[in-house]
Amino acid sequence: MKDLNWNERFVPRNMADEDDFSIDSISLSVQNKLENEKGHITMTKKRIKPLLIVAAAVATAAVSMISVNAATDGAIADAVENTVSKVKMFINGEEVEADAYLVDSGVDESGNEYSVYRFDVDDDTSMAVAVEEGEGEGTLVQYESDELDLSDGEYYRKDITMEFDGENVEEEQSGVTEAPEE
Amino acid sequence: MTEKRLISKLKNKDKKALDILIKEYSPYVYTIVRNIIGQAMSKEDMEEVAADCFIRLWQISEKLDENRPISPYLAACARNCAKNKLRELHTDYCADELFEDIVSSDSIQDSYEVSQQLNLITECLGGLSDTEQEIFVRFYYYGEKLREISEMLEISESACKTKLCRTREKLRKYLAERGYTNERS
Repeated sequence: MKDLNWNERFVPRNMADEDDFSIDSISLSVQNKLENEKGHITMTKKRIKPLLIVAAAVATAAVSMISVNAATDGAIADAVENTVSKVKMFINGEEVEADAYLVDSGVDESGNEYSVYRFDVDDDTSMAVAVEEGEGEGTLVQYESDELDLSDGEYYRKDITMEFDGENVEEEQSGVTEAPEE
Repeated sequence: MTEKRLISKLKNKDKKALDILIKEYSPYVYTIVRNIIGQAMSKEDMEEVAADCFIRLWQISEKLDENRPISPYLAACARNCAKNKLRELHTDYCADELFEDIVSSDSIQDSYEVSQQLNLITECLGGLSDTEQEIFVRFYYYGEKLREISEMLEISESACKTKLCRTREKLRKYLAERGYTNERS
């Protein structure tokens, strides 16, 4: 069998140490370059624009919608897209894992870029949704709703603000809205 | 946190993972940059080059494979960033061209192909002798001089150069069999 870790056995000669250079300088430079390249990305926690979750209780296909109203920064939108590509949902206490599909994106009336993700669940009454990172660490969004009585085409909408790494989720508003068009 | 986990997080554009990798691999990257650039730049300029390397890693992170070590990518990035900086200064970097051709793409769009080529190089080198591997890695990845390598391995410089040439030919053939050709070959 081929040794694919050969590189780990060979360490560069005369490895630089803290007297030769500054890790902090490199880290700061990376941070500045990313900010310059992408707008306002920081290396630390990033509070982004309201995240819109539209959880559906549709009698027919039981389709739920996640609408990510990301910051205008495309990189963050990309990151969110990656992050929610795998979602874990807790329906009546039972964990369900599903893929999230990007079904729409654009700019809303407030000028914010958004992306709409869809995932399918077999539930037409109540649900609790937890969207997590791909490997389950760092919950980004947690959403719970009581049993809803919605007409076809209506979705329960909840706007929240989240930390990018998943802490301090704050609810801002909620209400019934029309379903986004797929 | 394991490297595999870090790469996974990096693929998901987790900046904390990038920060951890910067702290862990800055000495490695800076050493390679310094080996290649030598006295041509100041410490601050070389730190900038090292930063460019991590930016490159960030940009290609989605193409990384969690099951492979990250150091070959970083070494290749460090080499390319250093080499590009030398070009900006109109300073020639006199290394053999094969490895340059393989990993010198600056285009993000080419990142998938580059990562595939790096994987193939890793696989190919994994089948070589320890000495052949070490000479290749030190010369092409780390920018170390043949004289230094031969002294460390306690072989003559000409023997070191011969082994390097043979390894290069094996690698060229290995890549050609898998559809990667070298325009200069």
